[in-house]
Amino acid sequence: MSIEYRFESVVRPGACRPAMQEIRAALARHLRDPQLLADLDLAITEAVANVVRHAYPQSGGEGPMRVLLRFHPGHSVELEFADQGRGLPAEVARRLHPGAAVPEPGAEGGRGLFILQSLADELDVGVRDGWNVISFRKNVEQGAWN
Amino acid sequence: MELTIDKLPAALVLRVAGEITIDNAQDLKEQAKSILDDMDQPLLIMDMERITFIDSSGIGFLIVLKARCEDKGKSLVLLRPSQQAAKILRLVQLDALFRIADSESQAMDPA
Repeated sequence: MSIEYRFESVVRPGACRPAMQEIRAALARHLRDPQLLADLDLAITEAVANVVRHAYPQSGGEGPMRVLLRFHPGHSVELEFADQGRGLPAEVARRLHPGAAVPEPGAEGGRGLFILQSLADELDVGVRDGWNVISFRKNVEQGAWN
Repeated sequence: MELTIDKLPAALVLRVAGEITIDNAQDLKEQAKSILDDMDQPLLIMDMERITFIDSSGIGFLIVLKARCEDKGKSLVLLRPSQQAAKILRLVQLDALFRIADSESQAMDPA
């Protein structure tokens, strides 16, 4: 059996972390490993930050976002982050693959998606029903579950 | 997020308690800029022990802080990064870019 949570919210600059509070709470209900929870918290934050930075420039970064969280107890956690913004530029999407090069040390930004990729066991980028979707899967060993 | 500034004779210590994320990294950059502009000490110590969570924007803040220190001929040392902070620094392969110390006295030792 899998368990699925769906969250719909409006994200805006300056309020990324509070917008994800319920997702963090759901993760903490199902998973007990603090390091895993910290990794997933980071993945969520980077995904939301990516939307706020890039998806909705015409409305100052504010716009709708959907997050789907699916638990396969004993096996894995899946997260899908969806927005209706302008989508990832092709050259950014191309950089998203396992073993992608780390951004230059002196660069101020450009690490968010690299981090998301690094934390995932599987990461996909696509478009579905007019929404840009980043799908993230993390395998989670038996002992890490509540 | 709470920012504490300790002005010691040999170093200025920035202590951040709480989170450094996309939500507050820009504010922190501006605070740090004005602090650096007024700083006389040759060394800036960034105390990271009480940082509960840091993301890529927080890493961007550290990069900017390092660049500003270098522009002004100052050194930057990261003090006691929390486990989560140390992990993300390794993940983005920046742990070797920064001087990292386990104690204030070690931070004040010339490299």
